[in-house]
Order: sequence, then structure tokens, then C-alpha cells
Amino acid sequence: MQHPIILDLKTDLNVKRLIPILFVGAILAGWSLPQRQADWNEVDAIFQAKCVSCHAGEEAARGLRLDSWENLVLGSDFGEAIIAYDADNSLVIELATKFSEGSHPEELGEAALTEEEITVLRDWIDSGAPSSDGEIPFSNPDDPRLYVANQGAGMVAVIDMNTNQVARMVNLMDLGFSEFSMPHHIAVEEDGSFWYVSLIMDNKILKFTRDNELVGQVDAIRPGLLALDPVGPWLYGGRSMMSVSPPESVVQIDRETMESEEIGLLMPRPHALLTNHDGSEVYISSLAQNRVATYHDETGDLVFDDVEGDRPHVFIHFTISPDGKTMVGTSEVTSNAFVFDLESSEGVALVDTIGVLRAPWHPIYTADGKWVVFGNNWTNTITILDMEKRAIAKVIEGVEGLAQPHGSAASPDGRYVYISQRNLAMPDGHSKEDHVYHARYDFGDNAHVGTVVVLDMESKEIVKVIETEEYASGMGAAVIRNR
Amino acid sequence: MNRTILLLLVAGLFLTGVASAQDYLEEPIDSPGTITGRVVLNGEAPAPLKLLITKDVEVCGLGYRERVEVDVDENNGLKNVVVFIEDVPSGKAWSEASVESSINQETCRFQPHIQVMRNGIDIDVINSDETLHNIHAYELIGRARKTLFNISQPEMGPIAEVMDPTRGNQISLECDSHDFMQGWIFVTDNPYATVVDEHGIYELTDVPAGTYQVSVWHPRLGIQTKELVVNHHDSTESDFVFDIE
Repeated sequence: MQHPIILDLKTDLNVKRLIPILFVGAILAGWSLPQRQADWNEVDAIFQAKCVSCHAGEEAARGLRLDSWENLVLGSDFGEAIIAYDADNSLVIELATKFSEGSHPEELGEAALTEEEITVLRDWIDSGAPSSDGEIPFSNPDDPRLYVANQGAGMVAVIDMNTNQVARMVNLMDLGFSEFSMPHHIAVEEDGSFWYVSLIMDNKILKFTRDNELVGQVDAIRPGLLALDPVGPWLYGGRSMMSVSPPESVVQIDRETMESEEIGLLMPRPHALLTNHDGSEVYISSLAQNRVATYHDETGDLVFDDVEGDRPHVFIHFTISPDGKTMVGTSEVTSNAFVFDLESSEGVALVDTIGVLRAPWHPIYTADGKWVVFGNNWTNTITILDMEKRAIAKVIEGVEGLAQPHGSAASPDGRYVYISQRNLAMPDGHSKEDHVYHARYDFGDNAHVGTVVVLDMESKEIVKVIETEEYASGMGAAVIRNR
Repeated sequence: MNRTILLLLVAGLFLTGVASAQDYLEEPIDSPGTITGRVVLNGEAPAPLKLLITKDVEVCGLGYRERVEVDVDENNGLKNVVVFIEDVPSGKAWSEASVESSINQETCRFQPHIQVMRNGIDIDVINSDETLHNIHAYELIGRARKTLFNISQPEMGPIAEVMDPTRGNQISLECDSHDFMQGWIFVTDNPYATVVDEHGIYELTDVPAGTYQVSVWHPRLGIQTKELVVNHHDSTESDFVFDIE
């Protein structure tokens, strides 16, 4: 896809014109509305006739078992076989219709799926891929979910964190947003009931239910990172680095009403943004100045703490330890992990600086407080910091799937850390060609598929590469904070 | 005593060697010749890289930056090549322009994309964009590289720098704030270095008669060198061909 080269800020979307479209789109796209109640028995018959000779039992090809609905939902060794409500992005349909090596399984000399069979599969998936009892995959409200913004595709991938596979795809274009809306970052309520996504180029922050129904939205100029107030009603929105001169403010949104105000900062290019664990303080830093602003919600006071440096560090993002005492911030240009003491009487006090590989991006503390993990966007690596020693414990490099790491999140039990990967085309010297991720199956349109790598914090190895859509960027998951 | 003398001799030889590389002598040339030719690509140029701009889109542009790593004209004339003679102890005078070089960062591009600079001169590093640039210049030493300078420019305008690499004459320009920016500089100790035109054609003028090792450098395709003889009042024509699979 080719974008226009120069952005004219005056041509931003006409919001009034879009409102009716968005409203209708939101209703039409509600996933609870099935297109056609297809029958699992029909699907099962197709699988029995065409698929189970290879995809059944313990030795099933690629670990994918199509011998029962439950096994189908578990996916393959690599990830999901189907995405409920989204036949177009379901592997079984893509393999049967646009696989570069030929229609599967025909390319292996087996009988091809007929058009009629593919239509049945499509209808069944688009109606939610129900079991014979009407159960929809991954519909348990208690299952933890990871939301991945696919900035290059106008989509949000929803990953089931129990099985680490894509459970849903939310296509924002279907909801009336532009092809280049650029979803960037996601915040999730602690109980998982709602999630919020920033759209950089459509100048919006959206509110969705857990069932991915669009229920609210608010205007925000070039929104970037999002942060939830875990106690109060607020959602905070920062500004994207896509914009050179965005408003010198952050957006404070009432999550119930989705009405917003702006908190003036007198600090250019606010980017990194996070609340403390009781929501009383919001920490914001700048791409242009070496300072951290602390906004006190109760009083409205704003306090600045400067960070030394002979050039703009270009702060990217923060993470706060589970005990709330320590905050770690990353910097793009100076490639540091800054350790701040949040309990100091002198404000947000810098107590340590750890030099790391180039362009550390979104950091995340593990639930035990021992480690901070982030991807290094310019070196295709993942860094694990030992926060007791305040030193680099491990750098993961040369592993398939690492390609411009961006966002981060952790599973509720702390076992896994997730790092999203942009996997954009990059020149020599920036991202070594060896590290560009090539999709497992060539469908002609997925040369630069974004991914999420799953890091097992016990072994500190990458145990899975989950393919999503183009340019996986910011992520969000429900976080149970210690208070 | 002998050891002291030996050390002095070695030191003297070393200093002389350094000086010879730096101290090009301008002197009248008796019936100089010219070297001309064309640099061509044998094979198909790879498709341009399409790099998504992920930052500062108001000044850098929204969408993809198309970066042509190997650029040719319709007849496969290769652009962005430096032609140079490394070891010329004396010859024509430097041009007046040789002491007025600059690197401009505009619309998140290094402009010009490739240029020749005289070793040791003062240069201006200019930020013409309303955003932070952080130019990071590296001397290329085979497969290794070494920082030459690393300047943060949050404000628009020029910053003075010196172009004085010590270990390599090929310079890679990168921006630590915009990963898609790339520029190149070739640093020369004599005035016999030039960038080919848009058709890959070059001309080295006022060359003293003699035998030279003439080289061409393309940042992505490497270096080629050949021996050429220049006669009085004569034009030596020689083409260079880079093969690409």
C-alpha cells in the first residue's frame, strides 16, 4: 500500500461526517451478530473427508488436529487455525485460497477443497466458528487477553494468553475508520471489561467492550501512549512521535462518559506516560526535553524533574515495579534504561542509568519485580535487566522473529513476557536481513507480517512467534496492580 | 643512545608518512591530461527499499521513504559513485569551493546524498528541519566502523564540525533519531576525486602525466581500482563496470 508522501494536517478527517458512519459501522461490526448460523457438523464432515488423514491424533501435521472442535480451537504448534468471525484472516481459508505453493492440501497431492466446501468453512468461521453446542471459541470472560495494535493494517489482534494464539481480529476499517488510522497503543481495564486504543492519524481514542463492540470514542490530536488510572475514572492519552509539534498536553478522559479535558504541560512532545499504582500521580516525559513531569491528580499540580544529559534522550516509555517504588524509563537516542526512585523526597529521582543496546522501546516489569524486559528497536534484540543488580542479565539476539521490537506486556501469572515486532522493511545496518521475519506461509500480501514473540521468563528464551498483521506496535493487557 | 636514535628515526618516518598523506602540493602542471569515463552497472538494480516513516511525519513525510540503494539511468549508468586517485603527491590547485562544505539535513534527508570533501576542513552541519536530528558520522574501516562525530541538533541552524577522519576515507552518515536517513561522504587528500553525474559519467581534469591507481567507490557495491596511464595533453578514457547478480 502506498501512502501519500506529505501529510497535510488540515486534511484530517471530517469528524461530523464520520459520526453516522461510525455509528452504523459499530452496530454492523458487532461480533455478537452472526452472519449465518453454520453447522459444525457440516464443517466436521469436510474435515473428516479432506483433512484428518494428516491432521488427527498425536502425530498430527504441524500439531494441528482437526478431529474435534476442541482440538481445532487449540490450533497448531505455531498458532491459531481459525479466527472466529474472521474467515479472511483464518489460516485454513488462506491456505486453501491464496497459498503461493498452491491450494492446500492440493499442493501435497491430496484432493482440494471444493468451492462449496470453502464457502461452508467461511460461513461457519464468519458466524463465530461455533461448536455443535453453540460455544464460540475463546468466549470465556475470565480468560486473559492481550491486545496488539497493528499500526500498518488498521487492525487490533486479540490474543488468548492461555494458548498464545490469535483469538479475534478487530478490523477498524470495518468500523468506518481510515485505512491509515494507525492504531498505536492499548489500555485494558483491570477486570478486562473494556479496552481502549489510540488512533494516531484518525485523531481518536476508542473504547471497546471485551466483546470488541465499539461503545465510545473521543477526539485527541495525534494520540500515542495510553495509561489507565487504576483507581479513579481517568484514562490518559499522550502524543505520538509521528507528530513533530503536537499539543503540549496530555488528554484526560473520563472512561465512563468518554469526555475529555487537556492537561497543559508546558513541555513539548509528551510521549512516555504512566500512572502510579493508586492513580494519584501521572508521569510524563518528553521526546524533546530531558525532564519528567509529574501530574498530581488531586491537586492538579505539575512538578518537573530534570534528567541530566548533553542531548535529548528522547524518552520512549516507562514501567513501574510491582511495589510501586521504582520506575524504569527507556530512551531512544541515548539508549539508556533510567532507574527512578518514586519514593524520594526530591520527587522522581534518577538513581541509576544503565546503558543498553540501541533504541530500547516499551519496557515492562515482571510480576515478581525482578526483571525489566524491553526490545531494542534498532538492533533486533530483547534486553532483560536484572533489577536487583541493576544490570543487563541477558540480551536475546539472532532469534527468528526479532524484527524491530516495539511494545511489551506480561501475562497475569508473570510467566510470559510478550514483545511485539514491527517487522518493517529496513535498510542494511539497521535491521539485518537475517532478522527480518518471513511469514510461515506466503499469501502474497504478508511479506512484512508483524509478530508478537513470547518470552518464557523461566528459561528466558523465546518459545513462540505469533503472527499478527502488519506493523505490530503497542500492546495492552489487563494488569492487576499491587496496591 | 642507539635505541634513542632508532626511536627517533622510526618516529620521523611515521610523521613523514602521515605528512605525505596530508600535504598535497599545489604546483604548476606541465601539459596535464584528463581521465574520463563512465561507471555502469552490469545486471539489474535491486528494487528500492520502501521504508515506512514512523516519526515526525510533518517534516519527514507520511508513508514510505523510497531509498534507492543502487541507482542507474536508463542506460545502466551508475549514479552515486566517487571516482578518485588516492596517491597524487602534487598537482592542480584545490578549488575555492573545496573549503566550503556542508551537510544539510532537510526533510529528514542528508543533502547531498553523496559528496566529496577535502580532508581536514571545517564544515557546517545544518539542521533545516523543525525537529531533533542527531547526525552520527562513522568512518568505515573494512567491515568495522568508528564514530567520527555524533551531534545532537534539537534546534534548526548550523553547527561547526571538522571533517578529519584518521582511519578511513569513506564516511557513513546516519541519524540516531531517524533510522531511515542515510548519506555518504568520501574524504580526499587531493583534488582528484569527484562524484559521477546522473549518467555515471566522470571527468578528472588537470592530471599530471604519469601512471595512477584510479578507483571508483559505490557505498553498496564496493571499490574497484585499475591502473591508468595519463599522457601529456591527452585524455585517457576508461569505464568501470560493477557486476550485480
